[in-house]
Amino acid sequence: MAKNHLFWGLTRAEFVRTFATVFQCVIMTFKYFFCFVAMLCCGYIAAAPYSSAHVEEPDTTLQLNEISITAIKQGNDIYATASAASALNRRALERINVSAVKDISQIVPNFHIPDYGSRMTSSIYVRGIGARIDQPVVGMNIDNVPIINKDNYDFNLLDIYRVEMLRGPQSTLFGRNTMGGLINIYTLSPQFYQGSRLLVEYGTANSWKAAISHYAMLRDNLGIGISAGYNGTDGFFTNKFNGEKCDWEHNFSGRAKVFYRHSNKVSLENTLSFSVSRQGGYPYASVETGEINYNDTCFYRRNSISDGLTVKHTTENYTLSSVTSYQYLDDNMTLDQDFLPLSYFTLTQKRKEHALTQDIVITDASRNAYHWLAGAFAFYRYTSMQAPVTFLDEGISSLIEQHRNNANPDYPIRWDSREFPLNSNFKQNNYGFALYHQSSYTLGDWKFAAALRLDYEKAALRYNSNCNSSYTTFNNTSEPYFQNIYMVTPVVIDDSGNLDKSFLQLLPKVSITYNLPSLPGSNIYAAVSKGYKSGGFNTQMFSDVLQQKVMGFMGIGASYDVDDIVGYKPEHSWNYELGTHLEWSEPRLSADISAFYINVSNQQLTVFPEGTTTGRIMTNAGKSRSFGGELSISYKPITRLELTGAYGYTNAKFVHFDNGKVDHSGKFIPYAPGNTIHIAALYTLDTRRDWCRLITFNTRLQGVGKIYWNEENSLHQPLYFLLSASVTFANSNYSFQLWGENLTNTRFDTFYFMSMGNAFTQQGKKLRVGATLRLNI
Amino acid sequence: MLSVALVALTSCNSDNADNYITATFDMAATVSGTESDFYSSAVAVKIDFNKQTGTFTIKNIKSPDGNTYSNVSVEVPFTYGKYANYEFKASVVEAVSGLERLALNNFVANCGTYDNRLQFTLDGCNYYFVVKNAGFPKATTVVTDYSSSDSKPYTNETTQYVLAMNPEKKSAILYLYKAKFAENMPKEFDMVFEGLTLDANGVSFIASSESLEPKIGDTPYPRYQITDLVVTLTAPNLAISFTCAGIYHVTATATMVTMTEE
Repeated sequence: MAKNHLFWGLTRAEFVRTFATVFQCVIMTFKYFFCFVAMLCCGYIAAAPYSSAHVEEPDTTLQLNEISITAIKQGNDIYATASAASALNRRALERINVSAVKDISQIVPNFHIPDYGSRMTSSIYVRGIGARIDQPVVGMNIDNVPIINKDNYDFNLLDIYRVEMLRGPQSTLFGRNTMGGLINIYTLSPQFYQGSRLLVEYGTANSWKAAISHYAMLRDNLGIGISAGYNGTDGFFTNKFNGEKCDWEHNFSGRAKVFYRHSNKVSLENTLSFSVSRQGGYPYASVETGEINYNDTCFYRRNSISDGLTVKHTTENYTLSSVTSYQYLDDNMTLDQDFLPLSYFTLTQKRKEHALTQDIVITDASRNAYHWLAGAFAFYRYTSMQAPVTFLDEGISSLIEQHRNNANPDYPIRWDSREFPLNSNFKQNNYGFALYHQSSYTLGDWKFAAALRLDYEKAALRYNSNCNSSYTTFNNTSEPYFQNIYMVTPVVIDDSGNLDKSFLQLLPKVSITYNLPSLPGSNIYAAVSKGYKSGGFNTQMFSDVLQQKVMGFMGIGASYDVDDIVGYKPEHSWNYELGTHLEWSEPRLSADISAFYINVSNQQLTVFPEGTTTGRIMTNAGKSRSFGGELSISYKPITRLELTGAYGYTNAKFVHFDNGKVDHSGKFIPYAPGNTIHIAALYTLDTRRDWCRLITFNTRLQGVGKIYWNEENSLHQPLYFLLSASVTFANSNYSFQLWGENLTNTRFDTFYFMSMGNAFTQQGKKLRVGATLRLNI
Repeated sequence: MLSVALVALTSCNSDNADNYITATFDMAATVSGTESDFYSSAVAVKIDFNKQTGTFTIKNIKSPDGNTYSNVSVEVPFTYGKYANYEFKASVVEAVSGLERLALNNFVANCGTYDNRLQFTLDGCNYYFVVKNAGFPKATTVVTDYSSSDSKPYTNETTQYVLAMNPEKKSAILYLYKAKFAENMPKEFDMVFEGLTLDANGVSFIASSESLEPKIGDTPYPRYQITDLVVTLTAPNLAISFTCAGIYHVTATATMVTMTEE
């Protein structure tokens, strides 16, 4: 191609003129729409000092909220800590069209959040460590508030200012369930952003998104921010049974934030948020047929409310911060548990949960070489749950009658009703207390730090499992068959009990950091830390316990010790890490490199029990180890061009995993990818035109794999790549983005599981395109 | 586990103001010198931890010549066994039955979780008393599959047995818990063998049946027909032999002792 030609034989000048003409037509179309929206927002118009199209703001600029308590614990610069960390600011999040936590997957090395199931499934894998149900390995804080329930992690990211991902155990400062890392999400605050924002987006599968927000300082010391949003989609996958899309969803969310500065020393910020989710979800396809085909209802419904109050008191000598939160969750997951076009059984899990958290941190504000931090944390959580498993006709026939009658065809049984529930009701009380302290000493370019946390937690479960049904036994030793009743057996179960467990943990961390004097802002660090994932009770196993009791009426059930099956122990890890943060100003290059080795003991694994049973179980699988490395690079050879890359490698295997029947020692840990890859190029063109100052071209390549699907390592998802691209037209008041994801329409699976001897997968989303309009007024 | 109601002697309640515990056992008794004369009895035991003795009250002792001694009371010293049991032993001890004095020789008794029995010699006859519902939590079951010439015997140590005896009716029932006759059996069964014929030879109790239909969950299973069943109880041990479904030959040895020896 000739030097002066760009695309399709056009010269540079010709291309610009052609493109400008096309763009003008598009803008004229939307111009009337802009005016209509502006009229709606006229009551909220205010000065907008901050623009999403500000070209000078690099992604790595740290503009942390002054009231960020996480900054108090970690320090204002996360890259100065002895921890592998990544951060994305608002511009980066909008450029790559991040709308949920799952969209951040692979951008951060060794950080994998597969998109499957529903908004309830937030399985996060970091460095080979992960969890699918119950306790998470990665914690999440939203505006300082620790989200107690992992099932609430997947929500719409509305007006997000910054997202940080800290890899490696954060248990010492952040406590329970941060064994793999921590995600910190900060939302816009009126104290540093004022203005109105509007977002409208439309994409493949009739996917809509709309959001509106307004931030204002009512007085010098009082600010308020209000936001509301909606997103919905018709869905991408079709259930063959009824010909309808099964993964439709509608989500509404809102937030009200108040910032108040009482004095130069005292400030507070309160964030009240709500979220309403309604979705079909669970587009699981049979491996055998390749089709999604199930006849009973699947849906997930969730309402959640959260309020977090952060108060900060600053003196010359210390800073005292307090974070108090209340979290409410009300959800209902209903599944066609067999995922077949036959009526085997359905599962419902209805839950209401209340949680309170309180974190108090005090840190010295001196500029001495010795620096300290201390804190106390407490939480309480109450959960009430009903989880019936309903056996239907086919389930009764094949799982109970056929199973029993094969063993005794001379005296066969018939269940007296073709549908009956196994009811399980639970009430759980969890509470915990923790004290923590961190000391650091700076000696020239060296910094030595040690931290310790004492963490106590108690989990108590009250359960009631019941069933009221019956079956008839026939004497078929002579004709007429199924006419001679031998006996009628009532099946009445009413079991109640109380279980409780308590855990006491000591969680240390030591680190050494050396600041490179020849490279300001750069350091080398080494750290050793202990991680902890709390134990508890897997309530899903009660359905299996009940089923065995039902079979016990026929003399063919297994007797389970409830606590042995339902309860599981905490998981621990020791993390050894070596890393470096490097910054060059000329050229503008930054690199984060880390190597790690993790030992995990009493690893909690999710497995489906052998045979045709209804629930999954947690087991403490023994020991595992994981080692690997991570590399993140950001390079700006010229002002207009930015290149970023992230690569993570993990080799995670079981050291000891013997479940009494099979020994999987030496096998790769399932569901955790061996590689994560992210490569992006961003080119910004300054048109010098007021109505469209900047045109930004963005291309991203993401890769993940190999992922083993089972402990036997007999099935896997090979390494696959997804190509995405976007072009954004923007000036200080708006941005209009055309985007496409999975442009090569790569076929890949995000999840695999076995149920009742059948294998299922969820396919990743195919090619998607769309347009996003953002206004700042 | 063993669901048949067993009367078991529990550990001492040290908070008991009287510092003793009592228990009563329904027992089956057999007498040497007879070929098939055995009967039901009851034995109450009162253990006094201060005196370190146990007082046995035996409801009836029948001799081969037809005499019956009622409410025979005897006090015997005890020592603690290594299985959390109480062991009683006396070479000669005087028992009282109303106004009569009886000399019981070679008195040996055991009270434990499952192993409750006593034996003694009176007027030259040996008496053996065993709980009528005798539980055997420790058992080794070996199953040989006759249908395959090269199959290895299958052994399991999870099946438990209870022998419930009725001397008056000369019948017995054998209960099997967690029965499994092959490695590839997907489930363990709780089975009941009813209608056994009970006999005794002065030392052992023998329950047998030529053929029966086992019950699982109160339902007969003709497919698992049991043949040539012989159960021999010589306390504290049990020996079982039978064939299931015509192809699985099962032998089992079991004991009433529950705790493993250190």
